[in-house]
Amino acid sequence: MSDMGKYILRRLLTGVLVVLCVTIIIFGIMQAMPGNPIDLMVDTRVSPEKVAELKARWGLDKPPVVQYFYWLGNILRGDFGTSITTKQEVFFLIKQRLPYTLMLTGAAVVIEYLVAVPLGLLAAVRKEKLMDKSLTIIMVVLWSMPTFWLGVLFIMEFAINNRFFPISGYSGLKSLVLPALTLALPSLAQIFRLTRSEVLDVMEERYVETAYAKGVADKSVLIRHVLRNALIPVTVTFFLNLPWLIGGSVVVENVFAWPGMGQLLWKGIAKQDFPIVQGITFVIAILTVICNLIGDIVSGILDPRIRVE
Amino acid sequence: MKKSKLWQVARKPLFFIGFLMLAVVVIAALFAPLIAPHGYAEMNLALKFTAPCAQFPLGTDQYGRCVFSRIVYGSRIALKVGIMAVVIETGIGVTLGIIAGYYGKKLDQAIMFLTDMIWSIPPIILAMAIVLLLTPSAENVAISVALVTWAQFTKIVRVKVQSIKNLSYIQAAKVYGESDVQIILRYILPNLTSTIVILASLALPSAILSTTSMGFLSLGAQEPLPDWGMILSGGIQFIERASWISFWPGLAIVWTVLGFNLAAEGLKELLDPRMKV
Repeated sequence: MSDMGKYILRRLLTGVLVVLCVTIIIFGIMQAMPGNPIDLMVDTRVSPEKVAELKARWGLDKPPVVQYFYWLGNILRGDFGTSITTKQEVFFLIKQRLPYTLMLTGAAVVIEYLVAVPLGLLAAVRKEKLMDKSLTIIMVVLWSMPTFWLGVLFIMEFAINNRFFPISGYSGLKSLVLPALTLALPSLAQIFRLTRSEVLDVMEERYVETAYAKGVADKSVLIRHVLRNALIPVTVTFFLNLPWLIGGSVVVENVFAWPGMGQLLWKGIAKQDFPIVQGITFVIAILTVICNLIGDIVSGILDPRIRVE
Repeated sequence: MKKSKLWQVARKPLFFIGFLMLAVVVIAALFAPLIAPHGYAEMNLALKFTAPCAQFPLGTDQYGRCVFSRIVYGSRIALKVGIMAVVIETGIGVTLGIIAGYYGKKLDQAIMFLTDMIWSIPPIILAMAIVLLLTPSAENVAISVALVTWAQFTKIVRVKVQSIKNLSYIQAAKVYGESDVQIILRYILPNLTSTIVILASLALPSAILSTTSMGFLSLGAQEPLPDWGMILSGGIQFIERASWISFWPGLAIVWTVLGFNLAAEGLKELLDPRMKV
């Protein structure tokens, strides 16, 4: 098998192992929770036979280890159980809301890179000049902002003072603008910093000096030599960044009443709706592992040195 | 530490500004009863949603409580929870980092796998699940945030220990038969001081952001305690009527976090300008 094939296989196996461990953590947390999910799910009018039947279906009459495998088997078949509060299938609820969370995080990550990468390059080229310094300060301020406050500012300015955008909820693509900006702005500072420092590092490399010495025009050195190499780590963080944004969307969705998974998760936590919390945490962990895996593979393709490590 | 260098950093305007910003927060926390015109739980339903005025500098909320007083008292919670989270995460992260770096092999692999796993659930989501287990409160928010953020310390401390442990005087101590614990406490830990101080000071602003986010999700200190994040989220439903309820606590968070960020950058400049975090 080629280097690349082995590398991908190794990362894949690690990914599966991580997912398994995550399921153990989730299961462990829920096990430690007071109360039995079935007792919470049904009220006193349900007959004891029915309760026993439900417990058997979920394997709750068995020891914890057996229960874990029951649960894992169910989850792998897409059976996430039933919500305690709404009695709906958790799988169905997640399927309904996942696209909105992906839409929000997808839009946010695109905004992040469209803004942060050019600005990072600009700051690096103008190192120590006014442009660099003011951009750096702006980024520290953004980095210090809680998303929920930025969201409030946007709502006050662009939804109440000027009615450009809806205050909350989802009613077409226009609703996406404020939540996506709110999610993107505070975290783009990191990508800005990374781009700036990578560009500065690459600019000191021998081959860049050589290109300059050979009389290649500034612009084409920047694009062909500097940017191309500096963007490798930046591209990799694109995928590593997504899970972060999915986490951040829990807060942002609650500011804008965005109908995504984050809001569902929060409601699930407030109402102690364990199946929902379990299901969403599992889906998010899977998404995270997939993103990390893609990040690893992309970095393996872009930078051959990584594969053999 | 040379005095001249301290002077150099102290004169940097951004560090100085950060320090001043923090001083305001610390003074507010220490002298809250003297600064706040009202108690943080003092309700006056007849005066609910009062716009900012002389009696209520930042207006009142849906129960007629003074928003300014709540923010002033809230600085105590924000600082306490943030610092507590950083102390715990530093403790866990540094300990595991030293163990992984010093002993290497299987222990190292196990600890590294643990950090990878922690990182495969977005921190805030894992923290939410942990708070749910522990029941919401200020202290439990600190614990849960610490439990999901220690890994950054572990990764950096581990690498540092790997390079320190082969220094000749540490090898010599080994030959003299000093125990591992003695070597770690007497020779390795002192070498890590500046790394730990830098990491902890950089972790503090993000810990305050995370803990106030948990407060925003009502997982932190419970009513009537004035958690900044919770005051803000409580105000969102009245935002068209009384935007000050949500605006000011958010500004207090930005102020504090920015102050810590600027001060931490200055501290890093002072102790180890080349360190990559």
